[in-house]
Amino acid sequence: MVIIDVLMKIFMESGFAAFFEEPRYLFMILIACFLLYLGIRKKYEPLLMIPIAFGMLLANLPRTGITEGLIHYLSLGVEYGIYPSLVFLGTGAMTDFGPLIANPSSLIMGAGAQFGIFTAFLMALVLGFEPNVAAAIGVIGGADGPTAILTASKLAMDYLPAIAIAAYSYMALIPMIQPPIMRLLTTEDERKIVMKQARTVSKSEKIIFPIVVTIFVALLIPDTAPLVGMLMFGNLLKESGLTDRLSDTAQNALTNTVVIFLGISVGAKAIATTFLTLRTIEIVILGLIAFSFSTAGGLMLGKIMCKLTGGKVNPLIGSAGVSAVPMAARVSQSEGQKANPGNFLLMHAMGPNVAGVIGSAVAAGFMLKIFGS
Amino acid sequence: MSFGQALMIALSGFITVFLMLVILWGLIVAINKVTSSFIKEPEVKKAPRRTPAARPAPAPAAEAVETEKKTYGGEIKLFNVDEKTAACIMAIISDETKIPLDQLIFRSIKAVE
Repeated sequence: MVIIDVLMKIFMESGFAAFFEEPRYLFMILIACFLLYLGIRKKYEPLLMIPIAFGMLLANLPRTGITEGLIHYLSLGVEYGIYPSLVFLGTGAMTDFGPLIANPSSLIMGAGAQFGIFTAFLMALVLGFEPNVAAAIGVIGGADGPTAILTASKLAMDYLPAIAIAAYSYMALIPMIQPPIMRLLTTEDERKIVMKQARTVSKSEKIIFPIVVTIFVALLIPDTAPLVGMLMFGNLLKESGLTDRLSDTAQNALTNTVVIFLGISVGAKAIATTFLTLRTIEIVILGLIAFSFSTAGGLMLGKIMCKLTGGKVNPLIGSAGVSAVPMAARVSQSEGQKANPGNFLLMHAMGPNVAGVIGSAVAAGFMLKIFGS
Repeated sequence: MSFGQALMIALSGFITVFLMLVILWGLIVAINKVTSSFIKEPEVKKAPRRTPAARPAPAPAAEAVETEKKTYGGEIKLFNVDEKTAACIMAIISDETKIPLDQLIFRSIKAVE
């Protein structure tokens, strides 16, 4: 009898017994396992999907208390917006702004591709979300994970996991989401346009660019300073040619470390009681709408540029304005080659692509300015 | 917040993004003007253009084998192609063939005119 009592006591105090009290934890564990499957098997943004899913798994194991210890302290980096800014530092160190500097009109397409942010913001309001939450949801349309996380951490902490998961899932799905919209909004002749090689960008231009952008953008919209400042700092480390060790650390060791902390922390915010709601499904749907409208916005600006330049710009590069470096540019390249096998749009699409990173940071800064406390 | 107010915020946000990026466009043009006027860039070494008159005499067989070995060691001959374009071509080929760059061997890249 004593042995049975002891075994019963062990079971009653275990996490398994907690599933009877709150079955939603079990459901969350299944969702975490599904996300792990997507990350590992389907290779959907595995570098972030796997840490996010594992964080979700850890946080939903009942009675472990892990969210009050280790993960609580790791989460401070998300709450204070430290991790997204550090990821931007690494992104800046990996980014070549050359194609943008060579063809600055790409910036217009990067701006057009922020259309989805504001469309999704309005739709979220119509669905009854608070304005600050609607703003954070809209930023998913920037297709920029760190920006979406930073905005959500400041404006809608409760919805951070849903926003982060939606943002990264759709970024992974860009090769599936964008092509039908690209084919729908462009003609065969437009897709066949071969663009001329851009001019060579001098070293001095590449060094001056991050300094000028930081001063100008941070002064005009101070809320963008953490993101744009770190992005440009990382880029300056790369372009100066004198800080290779720092650039290498920013690109690899630092980014990898931060991505681990960021992923685990964001995933661990997805607790059954707050995540399993109708609102999460609405956010996921709004995220898809935001992505689609951003793609359409970039393409429409691409078409306008095509008309204005007398057919020298292939509108397909406009869709790359949705950030998601370099996947969106690769999709432009791939669609361009389907229409004309001799078409190489990759370098041209990198212009709107990196412009989109700046554009989404500016849009997020605007939202923080309007709706931040 | 009324829908009208929200619409105005969305519109002004979109215009802000546009304005900011248009001004950045202007700044990039200004940077280009300044650097091309005041800063002298070091000359970029260009691959020599091969003309029939300048074509070297055929090398002895042993030398040719030596050159071949050097090429495999990572040297690429560029004919009328600058280094940046060559890098782009190599990246595109690697992407299209799904073969990592460190497993691809490029012997020469020649511009066809």
